[in-house]
Formats: sequence, structure tokens, C-alpha cells
Amino acid sequence: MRRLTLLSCLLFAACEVSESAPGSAGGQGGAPAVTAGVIGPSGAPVTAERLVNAAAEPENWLMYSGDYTSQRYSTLDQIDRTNVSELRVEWVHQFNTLSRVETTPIVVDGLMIITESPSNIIALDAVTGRPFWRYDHPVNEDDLRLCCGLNNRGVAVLGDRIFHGTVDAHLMALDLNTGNVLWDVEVERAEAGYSITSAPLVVGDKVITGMAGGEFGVRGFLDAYDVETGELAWRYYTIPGPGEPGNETWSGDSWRTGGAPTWVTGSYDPELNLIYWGTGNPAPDWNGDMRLGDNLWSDAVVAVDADSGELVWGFQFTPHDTHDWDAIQIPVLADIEVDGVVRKLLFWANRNAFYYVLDRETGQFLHGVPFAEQTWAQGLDPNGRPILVEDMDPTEDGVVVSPTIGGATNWNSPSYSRLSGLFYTYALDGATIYYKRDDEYVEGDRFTGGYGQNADDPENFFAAIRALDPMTGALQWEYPIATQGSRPGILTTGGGLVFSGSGDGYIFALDQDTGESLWYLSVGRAVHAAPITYSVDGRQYMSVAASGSLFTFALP
Amino acid sequence: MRSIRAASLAAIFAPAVLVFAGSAARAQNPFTSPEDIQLGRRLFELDCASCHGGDARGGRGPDLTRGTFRHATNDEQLFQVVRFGISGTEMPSRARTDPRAWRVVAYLRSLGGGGELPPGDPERGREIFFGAGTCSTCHIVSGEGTMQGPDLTAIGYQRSADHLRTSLLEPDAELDPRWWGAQVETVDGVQASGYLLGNDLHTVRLLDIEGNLLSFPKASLARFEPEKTSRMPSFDGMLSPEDVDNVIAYLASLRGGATQ
Repeated sequence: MRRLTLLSCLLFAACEVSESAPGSAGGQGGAPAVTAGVIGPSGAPVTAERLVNAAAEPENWLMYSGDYTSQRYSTLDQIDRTNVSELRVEWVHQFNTLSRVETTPIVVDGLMIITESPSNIIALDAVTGRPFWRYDHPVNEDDLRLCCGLNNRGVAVLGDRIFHGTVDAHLMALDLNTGNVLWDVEVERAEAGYSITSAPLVVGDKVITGMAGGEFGVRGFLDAYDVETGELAWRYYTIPGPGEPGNETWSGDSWRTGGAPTWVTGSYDPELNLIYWGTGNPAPDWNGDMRLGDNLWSDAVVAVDADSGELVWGFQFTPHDTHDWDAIQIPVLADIEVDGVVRKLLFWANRNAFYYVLDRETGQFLHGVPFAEQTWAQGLDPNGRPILVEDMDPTEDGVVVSPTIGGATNWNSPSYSRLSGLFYTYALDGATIYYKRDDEYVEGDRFTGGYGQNADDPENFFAAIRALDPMTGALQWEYPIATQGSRPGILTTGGGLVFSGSGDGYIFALDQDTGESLWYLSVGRAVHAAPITYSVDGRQYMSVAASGSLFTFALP
Repeated sequence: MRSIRAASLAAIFAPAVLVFAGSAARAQNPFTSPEDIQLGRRLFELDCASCHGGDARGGRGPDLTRGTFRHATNDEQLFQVVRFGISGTEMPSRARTDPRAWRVVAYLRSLGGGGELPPGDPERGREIFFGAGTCSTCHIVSGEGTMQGPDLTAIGYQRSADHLRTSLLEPDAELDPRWWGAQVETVDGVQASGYLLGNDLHTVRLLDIEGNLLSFPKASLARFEPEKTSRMPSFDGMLSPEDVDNVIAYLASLRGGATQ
């Protein structure tokens, strides 16, 4: 534990601090948990090394997906299958917004950092939920070009700094203890269609950020900035330029406006020094005639050298996508023994309804099967390329295709439990009527080339949390949830639990092995965020945002 | 008769419809007549002058006569600010109805951009700020300086020159509670002090001089003494009148924005 107790502290003089014994329990309606303490990493800064070893300090949640593997698995086991039914609300934070909240909190030694629409930050005491400070990001909404709302999903942390991407496409460094702005750089011009909604990822002395704008004909990229100065260290364009391998997969000049944004946080393998990041749809979304070819590296995972920003390998899930099936999922890394050899693998349940296993050293395709209803491909060939069903591209009159326009899954985080050995993902079985339209690129205007609408009443679709065998993709169990409004992330824990939520306003805990419901609570509105867990003074908490509030739970 | 009445109602309610039309069609101010502006001035004096001054040239709140606003670039956004306040700032929701807010907007627009910068040399003021004045040992501007006191990166937008002068010469006079201090002592004898970040029914939160965040259950405290005085010394007599002008000119020039 790094929550520190003050031994002596003169007025505004230096304080001596020491490790504390676990504090007394309490909180809800009674005596609070802590007698006195320094909150946050003042005594032990979050170093790059701590980030590499984040899984070894489960009391904290140091980055968007928990640690660099993005498994969203925590070894904390105080809350388990035998007692989860006693879980109760410890505190609630209500956001100053009616926009949906997609934040994943960061927890650093008792200090919680959350984000709020459009790009605000709030620092809280993770035990009491009471705020220390907030940063309100001024935005001129006239300049914004957002496909899907004023969202922000979280921050990154290193040392005494928070790193924060904003809807007006800035990247900022703020002081962890005061929220003061240390540097602020414009990543790209917001009025040209660029925005940032995802949490950055700190790797070494760089902060990596993706960007959004796939519905505005941007050219996607990943950027790395110096954590101290905010100086750009490298930019990797997801669409190769002229003379670069892959540029020939775009007809004419379509590469200039081809999309392939990077709007959800990636993962990192320190041993290979590779950053893994998903890329979004090619633009325009639904009119492939304007960009003939495979359109590399849209709808792909790219493995990029963390020092140079150079592409080491890429794997495209959906070549020449015409359905808006962004490969904007969290790359889940795991080391699994295969035929007596430990393989460095990458698990990926894709928006196109296929589940993939890749070798993350080489990008080699190892296995792929559907995990949700799909009608567009007969299967995958030995290289993982889809074997297409004919006449599934959008037309003027519309074509019915599964999965839906929102996909079999989307940006919401899956989880891989090292305890159960299973991979858990949200899945939707449904269909959309896809329409194609002529379009013309105008900077800052939507550039989509069509649209889609539900092929049936969404009540007739089927949505679930699905547990898959990560090596075969075989379904182990499923837990049905609301078909509308569900964008839940998933957390697994050493207590044998799967935490998630639903579009109809439930937060729940399932048995990792059977999917049996062990606990649930109605929080009233949709869960569009992923749960996290942390502990302070030996007490485990679970937090998740639902609509306009963040709920934090603990055992009595 | 019925058709005339319907037309009249449409005329009356059309502005309200426009207000909530969203981004598809930006709302125009339906209350811009000379009478509306005059009424807007009276409403401003009632609801806004305590912070922004009777002539809107600023006080505790910023000067609103410059023709540009940090949180609004068009009438609709200005309406939102006047009607609903600015989250996370001291700007509250004051106008109780839409027409009142629109008339205040009309009044503010009528002031044009006539606000003037205060006298003094901003460049010389900057030298003092980061040098002999030692201001940057407690304040930060565009990432330069230290964290303890208020971030002054956009202070020229947030405060009038008169308020800045008062803050510099009489720091306790109009101190924002955000910068109050507090001393605490727990029942175990642990003492701490710092900026009072939060004080509610059950907890007290401080930022101490070391930059540590501290959180105390009130039940654990034997002593809790808020200090409603500034931790900044008065610069009255410490700086020459010319240099006070120079520092204020520098602070008034700080309008925020990217540092790189």
C-alpha cells in the first residue's frame, strides 16, 4: 500500500511519511475509512517501470486497460463468488453532464482521476469520492467535428503528470495534484475533422495518442509526444503515403481522405517494444467505389515500434470494408503455451463478428471463427482473409447484412481472465440495411457515402456477454443483456468474477466459469463504460460509470 | 379570428423554438430592440454587476466590454453562459428565464469591443513576474512556474484589471474560497496545513506546501481551522507603482491558449 500516514507535519513544512497499517473499514453512512493520509503518488511517483509492472500492483489502476496487456484482469480477490452478493454502494459521483459517460477511472495510490464530457477532468479521493480538483476544458463547439458525441474515455499518468486528449484534438499534460496545465499541443485541426476521445498510452518517455475522424475523411495516424515537453517524437500514418508499401491499395488520391483513425487506446509489449493499435473504417464508410483496393491499413491492427513509430507488421481484418466495421477494439495480449512452447498471442473479437488469434511477434494469423451472427463471409482463408459472400456491399436500394452497423462488438473493452483462462466479450446478433450514396470530400464535412438502418426492431436482436475459449473461439457460456444501448466493458478478477453492465441500466457480477448471475444492481441508465477495481488500505473497491454517474462499490 | 390568433402565437413562440433547435440552425437573439437592450442593462445591473461591475468593465469577474468572450463565440453560446452559467467556474446561472438571458446578451453585444487594456508595459511585467517579483514561485503561466497558487494562464480573461490590482495590493480583500487555507490536527496529534480544496459534512481535503493531497474524515480531527486569508503577501510597497502597473498589464494580457 502506498497510502501514507503522516507521522509529523509542521505547518507548511516538510512532512515525514511512512507506510501505514491497513486502515479500518467503514464509509457508507458511518465513519470514513482513513484517519489521515497522503493521497496520490507523492511518495512514490508512477515511473515507466511501474507502468510496465502495473499488474503487480493491483491496488492501482494505472492505465486505461489496467496494464499493457489490456486484459482488464485484476488479481484482487477480496470480493469473490461467495460474498459478491453483499456488495453495496460506497459512494456515487454525479457528473455535470447529461452526455453519456464512457470514462475508465485511473487510480493512483488512493487518488482517482476520471473524465467528463466534453473533455473535463476530476480528481477524487478514491475512498470517499470527494473531489480535490477539476479541470474544465474550454471548447468551441462550432469548431468540433464529432461523429458520435462529446465523449472522453480517460487519461494516462506518469510521474506527477496526467496526459489528456480532448475533443478539439489537443493533447495536454496536467499536474496530477492540482490539474494545472503544463503543456498543451494541437495534435490536428479540429475543424478539419480531427478529435480525440480516447485515453492516451504512456510508453517510456513518450505519450501515445490516437485520434478520431473516420466519418470526416481524415488521414489516420498515431502520434508520440515527449512527456516532458510535449514535442512530437514521431507520427505514424495508418494510411501509407506515395512510395510506401500499401499506398497502392487505394485508388487514385483516395488515400488522402481514407480515414483509418485510431480512436481507442492500444496495448504494448515491453519485451518486443511494440505498440499494438486498432484502426477504424476507411472513408467514405459505405461507398467503396470511391476507394478501390484493400485500403491498408484501415480496419486493421498495426504493430508499431515504440521508439521510431515505424510499422513492424499489420494485419487487416476487413479488407475494403463497406460496412463501417472499425477494428477499434482493445488488443488483448496474452502469453499461452501452445504445443509446449509459450507463444506471444493477441486475442481480438472484431466488430465484423469474427474472433481472431494472432501471433503478436509476427502478425501471423493463427485462428479465426465467428463469435456472433454474420452473413457477409463464408469464413476466413488460411491467412485470415475473409472469403466473401457475393452482393453484400451497400447499394442504392439497401442490402441486409449481419452484423449491424454498430458491429458484433465495438470499442467497449473485452477481458481475458488469467484465472479462468477465458476471453469475455460483448456480442450483438443483429442486421442492418446498408445503403450507398454518392459523396464528395469537403474538409470538415461528413464524408460517409451512405448510411444504414436497423433491418428489424432491435428488440428482436440478441445481445450477450459471451465467454469464449481464447484459443478456439468456442462459446463457453453467454449471459443475455439488453439489445439496445449496451456498450459495456468487462472486468475480470481474482475473485472468479466477471463484472459488466447493460444498456437497460444494470451493473452485474457473473461467475467466470458458468455465467451465473451472482449480483446485480439497477443504476437506472445505460452502462457505456468499463468497470475497474482497486484497493485502498486493504479494502477492495469496484467502480463503473453508468450514464451520468460513477458508482463505487465495496463489501460492508 | 382564429387564424390571426394562431399567427400571433407563432410569432411569440418562434424565438423559443429557435433557442432549442440545436446545432442544425444556430439560434438568433430574438430580443435586440433598443428597448430590449435597455431592459438587458437593468437585468445586468441586478444579476451580474456584483461580479462584472455596473458598467460591465469587470470586477471580480472579467471585463465584458472587449467584444470577445472566453466561453462564447456567438450569441447562442453567450446565451447559454448567461442562462446556465459555466460549470466548474464561479459563473453561476443567473438569468431565470430565456427572454431575460437574451436581453442580457443584447446588452453585452451593444457594448461592442471598447474595452481597453490597462496602462503599463506587459513585457517588463513579465520580467518582474518571473524575476524579482518571485510570482512564479507560486503561480504557473502556460506551463512555466510552480503549482501552489492559481494558474494564471488565462487570468486576463477571467479577471478585470481592477480586480488584479486589488489582488496584488490587498490579497485578502476578495479572496476566492478556493484559495483559503486551513490547519488541522487529528485526535492522534497529526498536524497539517495547506490550501483547503474541500470541506463538507464529513471530510476535509487539503493540498499541502509539498504538493501532497490530504484527506481527513472530520471525525478524526481534534482541530480544524479554516484560514480565510491569502497566502500571497501584499505587493503594496514591495513594487514601485510603475512596476505594479507593469505586472497588471502583463496579467491582463494573459488570455490562455496552447503553449506550443
